[in-house]
Amino acid sequence: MEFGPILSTLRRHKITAFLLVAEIALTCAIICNAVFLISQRMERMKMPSGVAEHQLVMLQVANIGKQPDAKARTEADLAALRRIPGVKQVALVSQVPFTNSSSNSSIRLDPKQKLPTLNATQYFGQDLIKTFGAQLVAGRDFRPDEYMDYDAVMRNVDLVRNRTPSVIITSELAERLWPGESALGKRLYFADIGVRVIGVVKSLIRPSLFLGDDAAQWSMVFPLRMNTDNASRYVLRTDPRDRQRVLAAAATTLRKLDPHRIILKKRTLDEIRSDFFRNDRAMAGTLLGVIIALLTVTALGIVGLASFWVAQRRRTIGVRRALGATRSNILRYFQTENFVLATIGIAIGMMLAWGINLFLMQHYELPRLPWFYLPVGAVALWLIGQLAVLGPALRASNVPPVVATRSV
Amino acid sequence: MAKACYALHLAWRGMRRHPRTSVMVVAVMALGLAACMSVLAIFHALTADPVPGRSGQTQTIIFPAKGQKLESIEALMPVGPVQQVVDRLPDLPVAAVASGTTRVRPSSDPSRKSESDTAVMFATARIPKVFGISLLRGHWWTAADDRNGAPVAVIGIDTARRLFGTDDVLGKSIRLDKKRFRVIGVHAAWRPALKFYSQRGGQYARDMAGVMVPLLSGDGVDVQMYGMSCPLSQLTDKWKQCRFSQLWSYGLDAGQRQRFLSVATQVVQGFYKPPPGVTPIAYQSRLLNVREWLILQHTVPDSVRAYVWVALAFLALCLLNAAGVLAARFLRRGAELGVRRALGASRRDVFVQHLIESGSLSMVAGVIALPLMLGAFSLMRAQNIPYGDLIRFNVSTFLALCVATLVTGLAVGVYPAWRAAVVPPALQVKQN
Repeated sequence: MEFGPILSTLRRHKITAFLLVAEIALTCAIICNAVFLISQRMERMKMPSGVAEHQLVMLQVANIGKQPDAKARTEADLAALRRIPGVKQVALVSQVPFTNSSSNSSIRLDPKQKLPTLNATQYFGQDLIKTFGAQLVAGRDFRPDEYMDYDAVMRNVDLVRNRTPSVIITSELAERLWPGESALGKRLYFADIGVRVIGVVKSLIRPSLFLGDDAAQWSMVFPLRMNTDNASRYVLRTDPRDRQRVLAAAATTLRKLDPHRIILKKRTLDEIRSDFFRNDRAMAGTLLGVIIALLTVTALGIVGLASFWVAQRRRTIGVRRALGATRSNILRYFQTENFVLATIGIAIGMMLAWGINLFLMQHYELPRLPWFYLPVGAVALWLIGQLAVLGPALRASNVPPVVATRSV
Repeated sequence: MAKACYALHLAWRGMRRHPRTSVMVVAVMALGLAACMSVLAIFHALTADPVPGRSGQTQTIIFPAKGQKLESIEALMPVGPVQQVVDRLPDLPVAAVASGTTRVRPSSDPSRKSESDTAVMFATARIPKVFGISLLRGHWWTAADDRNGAPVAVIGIDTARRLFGTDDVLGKSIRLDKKRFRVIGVHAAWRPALKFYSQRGGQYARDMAGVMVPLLSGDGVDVQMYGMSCPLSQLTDKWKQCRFSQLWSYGLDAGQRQRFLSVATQVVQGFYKPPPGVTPIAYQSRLLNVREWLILQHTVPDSVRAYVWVALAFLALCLLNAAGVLAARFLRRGAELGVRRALGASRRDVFVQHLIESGSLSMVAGVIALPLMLGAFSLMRAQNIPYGDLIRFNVSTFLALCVATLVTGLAVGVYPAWRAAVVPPALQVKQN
């Protein structure tokens, strides 16, 4: 196939050829970046939580009025929940991953330090590590005798002021606070209260990412026992297949023990997680819609222009056919023409894509566009171009040679 | 006039001659317009000035520690210190504000079910001056009521009508949660475009304060608040310990600003006196106006900004597409245009004829874009996004759509029409 005739024809249709190339370039640039943004969102939705997500269910309960016997009630609740067939672990905890509601605290490495080192979230609740299924990578879990009542500590902080209670932190937090060192035995301070690290879990996400994704793993677990008056979330661990049944049974059990309480939420952790990333999913979906719309519009543009060109060149096609060109010659001609235009458009589009990425990097803290996203846009546009031009090109190849003999 | 009719007639014939490309151009332009205008409408709703004419003068104070990054949570303080700041600056238009939602009902009618989630503003006495809220009946509470936490309320006219069915509600009582408040005033409807004085996502709520009560009177009322921050220890008294109130001022001059800053910093520094042996935090307080405060809170999410760029690029693509097809269509008429020109039609006639043809196509596209846009709006509202409540179709959105349609029609048509108009008469006749 010779490019000469194609180029000289295009030179005669400068404006329309230019508009088509511009369209392809723009589509290519946007698609490269949109695919990249989608992959970023997908990546974010895979963020590790560090808990046995598929095995966990959560019930949030509201009690009416102050409860004088909260401690006894809590024990009764937990014992009854443990008796439900299929339940492996139960805990009453202060907060749960992906629920967007969290208790956080500024910590210091030295009480005399002027500014806090960072802000981390704090999980409370007996058996929390075991129930969540968080994986210990160093040190140990809390011993039963280490737990204290949350109420008692809050009423009188002096209980812990000079005792240096234990804390378990995530490996990411440990690495951030003491890079390259073992965190075990190290101390953290809340105002003037010191705590000692006795264990490190691989990962435990904070319930709310209000400090950004980089701080997602800054979590601490304290040996504090909650009761129905100061905590509302029961977490149960079970086999993934039993989750719905356990949820229903747990709700019935809790209601039977105290008919006055209201079950605010009963959900699996998978549902909670999926809800947490709702915005990311919506954005990925929107961008996918944008990609489809862009490709459709570009395809329509190619079909429209190619149809006009075919109609305009009927006579010349007839002449070529009369002079011996085969149908497939004519078909190839229009396909090649489209390929040439698409290639020019794609080349410009790549540069544009890179420019858009630079802009996004500057304004939205987005990483650099990896090179392998560029061919994605290129292939998509070559394909869509060839598909779109096929119809008009077939029509052109069906122009009979006799047209050459007709006058307008 | 006759000429315009003739041009319209020609445009109509032109469209009918190429029905398929006409439909395509219209569809593409309608899609582009609908996508672009819906996203711009959201962007506009999120960036609208909540208190037009006042937002530069309305300022809040934020207390970051020296060298620390500015976080919106640093503007929140417990009720104790903010009340103290307000008391120490009795001559300045300064007020403390906390907002949340709770259950409200008329106390005279215990049988009636409480309205859940009514927006309540807890504020100090100078709030009408600071936010520019006008009073319709009765009077506001006084600084003395502030200090005593008197259970009195000034309610919005809409709330009055909803709860009691009348505006004449002075002396009646309402219950917030379980606490009883006497109504002493009725304020005019006050609806800033954004609930700028709220925190973290609360600013998108549509329901503006329907009930206003003194700040300290909120003690004992169970209130849902956005972005409350509580200390680790001594959680026995939420209302006194947690940080959820913010200071606002209006129209301070340079000297007054300085005084506001230094008094507030002093009070906060005193309130957070650390235990002996711990270095106290040095606060570097700053004043932020409404605009700066909204930026700090990321009121316009990054995703919306990204959508604006994507939508603009999409519109550009649709326009390129339409322009390309129209150019091809107009230039194909070279021969007949040559004949028309040779018969005496001026360049202007030919130009106007084609402009009218592309203009009518874009007009049709605009009409189709309208239902598409409404569909996009309801789709977005159904998605349960935080700012979904702000997405409304109103007159200004409609006018913007009309202008955009006109502009796109011109943008798409001018160049192809001009190319058609410069066709030399004789040459084209000869060529075929």
